[in-house]
Amino acid sequence: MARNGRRLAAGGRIDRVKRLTFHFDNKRFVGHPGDTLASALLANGVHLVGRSFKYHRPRGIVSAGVEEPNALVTLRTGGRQEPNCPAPVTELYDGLVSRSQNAWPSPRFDAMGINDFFKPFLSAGFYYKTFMGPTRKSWMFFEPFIRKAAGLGAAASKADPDRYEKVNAFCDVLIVGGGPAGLAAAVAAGRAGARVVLAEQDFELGGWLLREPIGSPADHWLGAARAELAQLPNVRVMTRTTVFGAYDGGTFGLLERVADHKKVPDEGEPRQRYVVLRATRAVIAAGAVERPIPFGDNDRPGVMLAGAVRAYLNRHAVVAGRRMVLFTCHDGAYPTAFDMKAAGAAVTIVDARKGPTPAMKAAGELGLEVIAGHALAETRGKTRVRAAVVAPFDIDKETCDSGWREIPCDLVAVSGGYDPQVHLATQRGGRKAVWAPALGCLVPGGEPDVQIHAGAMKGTFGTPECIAEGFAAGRRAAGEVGAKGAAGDLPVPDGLPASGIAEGFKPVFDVKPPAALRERKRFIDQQNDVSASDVKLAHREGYVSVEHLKRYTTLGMATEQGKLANVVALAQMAKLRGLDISAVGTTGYRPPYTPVPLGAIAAHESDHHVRPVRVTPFHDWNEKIGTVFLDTGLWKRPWYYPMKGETINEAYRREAKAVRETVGMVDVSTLGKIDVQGPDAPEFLNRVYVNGWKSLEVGKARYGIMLREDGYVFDDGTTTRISEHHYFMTTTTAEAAKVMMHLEWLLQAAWPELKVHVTSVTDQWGGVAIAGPNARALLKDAIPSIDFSNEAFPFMGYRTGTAEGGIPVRVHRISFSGELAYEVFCGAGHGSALCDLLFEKGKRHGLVLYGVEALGTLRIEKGHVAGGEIDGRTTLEDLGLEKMASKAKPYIGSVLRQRPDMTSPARQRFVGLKAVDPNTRIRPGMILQPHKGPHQGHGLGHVTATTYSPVLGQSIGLGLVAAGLARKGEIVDAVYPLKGDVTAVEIVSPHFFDPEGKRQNG
Amino acid sequence: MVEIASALAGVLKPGRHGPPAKTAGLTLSEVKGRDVVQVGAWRETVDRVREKLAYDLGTPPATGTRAAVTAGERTVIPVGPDKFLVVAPASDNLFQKLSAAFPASEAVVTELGHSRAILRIAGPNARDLVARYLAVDLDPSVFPVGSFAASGLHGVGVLLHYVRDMGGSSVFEAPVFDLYLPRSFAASLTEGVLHVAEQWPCQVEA
Repeated sequence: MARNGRRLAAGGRIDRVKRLTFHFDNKRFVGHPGDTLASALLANGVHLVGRSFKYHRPRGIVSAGVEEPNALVTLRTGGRQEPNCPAPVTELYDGLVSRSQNAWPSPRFDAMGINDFFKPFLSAGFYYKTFMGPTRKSWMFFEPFIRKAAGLGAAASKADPDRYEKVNAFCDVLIVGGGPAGLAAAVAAGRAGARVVLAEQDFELGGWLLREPIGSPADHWLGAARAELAQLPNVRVMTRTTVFGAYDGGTFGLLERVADHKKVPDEGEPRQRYVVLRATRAVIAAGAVERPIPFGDNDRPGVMLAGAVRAYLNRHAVVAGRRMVLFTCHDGAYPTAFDMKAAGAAVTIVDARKGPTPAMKAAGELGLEVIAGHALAETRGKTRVRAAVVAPFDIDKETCDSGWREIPCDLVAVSGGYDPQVHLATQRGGRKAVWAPALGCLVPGGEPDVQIHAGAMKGTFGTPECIAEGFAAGRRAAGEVGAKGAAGDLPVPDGLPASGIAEGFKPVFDVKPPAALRERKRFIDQQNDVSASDVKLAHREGYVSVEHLKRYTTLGMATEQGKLANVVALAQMAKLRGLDISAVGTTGYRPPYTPVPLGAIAAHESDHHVRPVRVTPFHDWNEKIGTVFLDTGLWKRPWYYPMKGETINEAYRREAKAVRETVGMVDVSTLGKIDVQGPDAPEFLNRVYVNGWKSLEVGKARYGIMLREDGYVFDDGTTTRISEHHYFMTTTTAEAAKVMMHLEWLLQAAWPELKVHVTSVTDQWGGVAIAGPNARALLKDAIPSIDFSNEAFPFMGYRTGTAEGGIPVRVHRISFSGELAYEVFCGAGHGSALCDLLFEKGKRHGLVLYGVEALGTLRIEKGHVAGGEIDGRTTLEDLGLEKMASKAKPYIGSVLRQRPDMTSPARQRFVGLKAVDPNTRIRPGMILQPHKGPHQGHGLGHVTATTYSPVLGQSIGLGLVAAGLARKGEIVDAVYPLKGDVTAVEIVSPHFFDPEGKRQNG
Repeated sequence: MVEIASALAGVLKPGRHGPPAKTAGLTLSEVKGRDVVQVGAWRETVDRVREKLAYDLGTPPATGTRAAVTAGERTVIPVGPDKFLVVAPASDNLFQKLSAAFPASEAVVTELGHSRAILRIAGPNARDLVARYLAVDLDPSVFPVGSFAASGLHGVGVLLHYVRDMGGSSVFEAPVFDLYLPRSFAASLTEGVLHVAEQWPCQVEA
């Protein structure tokens, strides 16, 4: 019997030599390597580990696996704090700190335990019913209290100091599960020479074989299989790794708990690793979990699954109780009784079947009391089971009769059969699990795409059969991926555990108490406090579909995800509806199989690596100068260049004013740049732009507009003819990638006959715009190899040359600001050198640096359209650009743009807006409404861009308004409901400054 | 002519990073002084262009779909059915030479030398590092020396080239990969790669 509490003196898969100290609820305990937190707590006599979600009932350890509904604890502290960790799968390490959840001040004396007395009022649908109708508004008041009272653990409030990472992996054959079927599959596929990944969620291979005693035939077989796999270099064994999701095309999501079993990860080591694995074939051997049977107060600490009792006994050498009552309905649970008796416990077996069965006979031979044809009707005790009430049982009606008696005990082991873990087989939809009457469980409805199923997950519960099935699956998988080696045979020795599920197995899904006993809660889902009475209530209120049942009662939610509860609940619903289980159906499963921390999904793409940053060739130079950057998409763009003590408003107004008076330089490298080359390039441009391109001369640029196929404006920009077959296209910053994709699609799919190549050269070229009256003089100084006279280099001209210092440049005479302006492009690697040169040369020409804020001011004053106006909903007519469209040729969007509604003069069209009171401000996004009301709905249009105009000395804007310039001179209200602002604005021409273009052409 | 400034100078700090060890598991460096030029052929001229490139550069013809061909410092990577990326020392004046070699009726030539930063990842942990980012099967049986793959690194299109092995008793020991990064993203992506690389003993070379 146990020495030092509940730990056996010998046996188990623990290292007794090493001692691990850990804390639970501030108490210090000792365990050993090979322990889980749950086994170590049980070894120290701790059964009560928390309080339940809703009723705050005392709860203990139920299982020995991921299906654990109750023993969820918070691990570690500070930034490493992690809530809702199942103690049975938490590997023990020295220095582990854990706390119970949902209990204050402790699980033993929990203040919220009072909820249990109000359970008649806290049934399924409590929130919906309470906070509907007149009480609806009270939800806002009660919500914080309810959330505090109900729930699981709390997330860390400090930043997690650990590293997480994501890895891509590939293999021929993925094997999910390291139990007998998975091990056999890995041996077969490994011998055949396939690249194999074997993933096992436990820290040790073996699955349920680990529940067999050391030295047993199962233990010997396991040792041999592990040894063989260790010799196969093509087999990668990943323990502590859960395959949590199956996705399209053989892609699986894996979570590897790299350092969860350490107090602190080693230097550089990630705590967890998210593996995206692509497998050609996958053998799913995910095993099964044991199914509980609901009976009165079946949630009392000390009530455990029979297999778990055996796992703690044989794997961890922990005797979970001294007097055990085993309640079951099949022979597979009996080995728990046999092993517990051998360990010195007093054991009584209560079997719902009348028998006799081979296991009953074996139990009798061992001198165990078997109470056949009885059920465990309820438990007694407070924070630990003290006695089991046993009553005669009608297995068909699932009701108890009178004649009950009480059996003293400190442990109840229960087993209602096994539920195959069908999650991965059903996650991708379309193939729900199906009811297998002979096995009394759900099994996969088929093998989707790359999957091959084997072992207990498809209802094969005998170990010899699992091995044979797994081996065949591994061999088949290897063959299907083209592995040529011989898998040979895998002998199955005698003495391996047989299936306890015999022909004619009748599962028990409920134990209604005898009439003489008061009905007590019979929990189905202990994690969510859902009981048989909740299923009954849902049925009574019409929530009879399993999907509605789940959502109405919260059954199968949270970490447990229906592993223990689903089948019992749907069986009870089937009975209430008078239907067969197969007719009721089941809910589908979605990833993840077990919880995956978001940190692992984000992995190294977090903090300042959350998204890549894109910088222009002038970024480092701008940073040195002291630019304030603006994030536009992924780009860092110079926003403004503040002088000492200057605000953004002061800075951009100064910059914009200086451009009009002397000369300014702005980084325009973020414009999309596309190299268009080929003999058919003119024809190609003619088709994608609304205007004509065939007549464009070499050395000239042209402004162009593209439409989408539906006739709406897509993008604009200038394209320059560099040589006969070579064009340089620019796009807006925002649409650069979309335009590139559009052009590539057209060339590959629509017009493959055109000899044209398009290549993104956005990263090849850096560009600055030099704008202002002194632009010409500055560039003459900096690039003496080019003649900048108006005659030699007119507006929309293009020249190449070499700037001082030997920097090759391309110069386009283009203006976005309305000023005399040039865009100078250089190789991106020459960016800083060009900036140095222009900055130095610019000093005597009054050069100012300006950012996108001032750039916006200048373009609004000039009335150029940009992203606010080309918003995917505007047409050429809306933007006043219809005259650009050629009538002599077809182009993308040319037909659909002529639909009557697209050309209607009543549409919202491009206008300028001027505040009537020059001292008031127009805000971006304001809604334009009739002057003095009514201010209703979407109004007449909206403001697309605003600025303070240094030239005009007041706030101006651009907008889209119904009937556009037909309203010129009309006063409308620009309203901003969020702030209550109403500003009277006059509709004017959008061309506020130099409408004739004298400055840019001069 | 003025030199091309490195896009990685600010992030690749020479020295040892990560946990201490006798030998580095990884060596990171920037491949400098390379010119990159794209040659786009037409359906009916692609075979001729492939042969001509091989002749001019001294490489075998780039006939594979996932395999680059190399001769010394010159590499031809067939990035599409009719597109080749040619990488050679800047002193080759590749763009001028190839522009002169191909009339537009045969192929068009695009200069991309400034647009890519080439990050070299070498050493026993090189595969481990690349697998943290690229969804490419790097097993030597699938991705042998000379292979290349276009893939996404943190959502950005990059090109990976398995240049050679550094030696050792097996190909698993020390592969050398060149990762072609778009220049505008290069510093940010390299910063991220370095962060991940620091879990192994890592040498950054100038």
